[in-house]
Amino acid sequence: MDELLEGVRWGESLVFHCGDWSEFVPFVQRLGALLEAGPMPGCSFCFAESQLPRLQGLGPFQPRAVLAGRDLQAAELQLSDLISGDLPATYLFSDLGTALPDEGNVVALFQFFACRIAETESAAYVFLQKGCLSNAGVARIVDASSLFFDLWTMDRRVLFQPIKALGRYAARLFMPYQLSGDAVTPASGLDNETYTGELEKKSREFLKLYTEKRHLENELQRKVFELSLINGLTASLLSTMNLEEILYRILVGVTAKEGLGFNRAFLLLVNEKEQVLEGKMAIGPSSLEEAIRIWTELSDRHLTYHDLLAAFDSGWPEHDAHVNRLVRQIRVPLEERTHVLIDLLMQTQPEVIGPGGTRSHPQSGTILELLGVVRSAVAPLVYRNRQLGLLMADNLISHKPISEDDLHILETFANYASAAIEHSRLYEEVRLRIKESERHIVELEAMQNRLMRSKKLSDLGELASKMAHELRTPLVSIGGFANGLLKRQGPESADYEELKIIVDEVRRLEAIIRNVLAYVSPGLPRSQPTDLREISDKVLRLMQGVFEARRIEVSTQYFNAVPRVSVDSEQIQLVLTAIINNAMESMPDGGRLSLAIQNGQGFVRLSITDTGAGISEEDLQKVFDAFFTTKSLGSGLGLNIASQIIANHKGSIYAESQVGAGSTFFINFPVGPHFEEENP
Amino acid sequence: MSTILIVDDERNLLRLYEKEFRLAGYSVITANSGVEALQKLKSSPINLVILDIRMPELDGVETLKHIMELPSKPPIILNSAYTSYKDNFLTWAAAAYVVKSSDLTELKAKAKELLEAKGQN
Repeated sequence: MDELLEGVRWGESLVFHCGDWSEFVPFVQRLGALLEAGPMPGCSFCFAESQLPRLQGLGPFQPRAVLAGRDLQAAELQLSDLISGDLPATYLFSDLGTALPDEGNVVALFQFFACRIAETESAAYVFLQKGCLSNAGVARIVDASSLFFDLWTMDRRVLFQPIKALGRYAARLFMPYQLSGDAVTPASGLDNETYTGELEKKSREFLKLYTEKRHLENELQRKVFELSLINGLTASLLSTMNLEEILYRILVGVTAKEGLGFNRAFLLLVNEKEQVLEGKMAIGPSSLEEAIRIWTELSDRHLTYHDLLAAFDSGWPEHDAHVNRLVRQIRVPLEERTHVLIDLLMQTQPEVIGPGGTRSHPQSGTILELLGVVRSAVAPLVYRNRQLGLLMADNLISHKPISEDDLHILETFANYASAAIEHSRLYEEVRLRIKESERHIVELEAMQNRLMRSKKLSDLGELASKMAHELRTPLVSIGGFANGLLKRQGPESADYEELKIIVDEVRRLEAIIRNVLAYVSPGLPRSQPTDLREISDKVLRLMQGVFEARRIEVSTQYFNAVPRVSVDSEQIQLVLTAIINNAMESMPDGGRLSLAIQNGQGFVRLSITDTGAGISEEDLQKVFDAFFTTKSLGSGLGLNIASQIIANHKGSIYAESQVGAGSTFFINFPVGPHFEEENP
Repeated sequence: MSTILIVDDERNLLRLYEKEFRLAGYSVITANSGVEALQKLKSSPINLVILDIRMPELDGVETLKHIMELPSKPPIILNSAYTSYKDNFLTWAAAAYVVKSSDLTELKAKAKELLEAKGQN
């Protein structure tokens, strides 16, 4: 009987066709006991006020209303009111047969009633007194009910005969029985005893088959539910490749009401690089109050699973901060094989840790204490024999026990979650590799460009070098003849000024050629111990004409006891010429130029100071860059070549300047140990 | 009076150098090529050679080699528009290397220095 009563699914109406109320009572009492053990409320109703006392004292069935109306429409309205709650309930109705005087109305009312029960997913047990309805009426109620039991008494035992189950008239298989008037008449040809025995036997067989079938059906339904759930969750996991988002979706799947329905979920992942298992992410309320607030919020806003997923894009839900803090405290080295979490990581099956868990782990208490829960379900995340991490879930708020079914579905989900995590990692790896390859390609292209550019520059350099050399020889002739004429004719000559212009301009051209050649192929210095004063004097001498023309006053300050330095004097001449040219450019209206040579710590310093316009701080950074120039004329190469030459001499060059006051260029030449002797 | 042999394939340069060194008080012989220079060296006493490097047929570096094989072995000033020959060790046998410039001060100074040094010996 228990099996029968328990086997009834929500949405079904069972009709007990009894000769007497007393036959119905054992079922009602048993049902009452079952309901009191379970969470569902029970309500009872009767259709005639006079029957009300019968229902009192029947377990959880508190009579709440009485159907008193006599017309069908009023009765339907009243019935509709009675079964109006949103939550499913177990209903007990007595005296359906006496509800209305008209048999057609009784049947119609029952049909309406069975529909309401199905709609509200409730369960109803109905007492139908034998003899109230005609055979045709009973047959129609049999049709509309989910299960119809014909009960009768024999030797004070209640025998029940299922007439209909699962949409089929079971009775037709074995029940040679007739309903007529008040009496139940066994079919002719069978004596009472044979009939009773046969009936009992058949009933038991039927019940056995029926309950087995119910179990199978329930199992099937559970599987279907599980599959569709897993299917939905998996589809959601596969819709992204972002690991963080996948982790979040896993946690939502475990905790959402439409998902696995746990209160909280935690994800721990293996960090292969550091060889530790570490807490990554969690979802769930930190307290009952928070849980209620969240649940109210969710139901108020009618948030679905997909809304929850979308929440990821709008940032972390703040109410998960607590559990995230908790989970991030977990960090266990993989080599700690005896640690509960590492042990669980190596398993293939999910387990419950805590009291009543599959096995006892010494440190499980510490973990549970950290998470603030008594029991927790833990499923390993394994993909192709590779341990990825752990998925933990608990019911901190509802205290609902973790069933075998819960564990089973957690395991199934964990398998799909592992695949999703691994795929995301592989995807990320491939993405990084592609990015790296792209970087290499860009580098290669840049290198190719540089090569092409340097080839172009070297071609250009070759051309420049060739031109410069070719120009040099005719310039020697022009400048040399002009110089000879200039010296021999003297300043009194009418052509003196013009000749001087030719000489100066040729020298300028020669200086440009020297610069270009030095830039194109400066060559390594051919150094010899040299007195810097000689170079300085030579340069000043060569430029004397220019100084005069530009009204530049030149002074030198050579300190004594300055050692010789190892330099290529021609290259250093270029350096000084470049700096002096630069200085003169900053003094278009004339000025003072002073050269100083002095001794430093391990170096000799040559400085050239002008009283020109000065260089801004910004330009001072770029003054040694190639092609940097503020002049309208000039190549912008002079100081760049100078700095290259000084670098080749292992010396240093730098400038100080004050806008409006002038600049000083300093060159430090290193002093080798064998040049330490002083100049005579 | 010291005799200077000036070797260059550029006639204008030969003319300039000849004039300048004559005015400076030297006896000057010119040669248009390395071959001609070697011939003149064999026929006349020469105290100093000013030798261009880039010349057709026998270039300055080759000429230098031949001069160094002569018994007289006069000092040589290499005079080139190129600085790069300085790095060629074959040029190091020359007494001096002066890059061509319209300012002949350095060339003249070097010539004077070498001739004086030789005179002292």
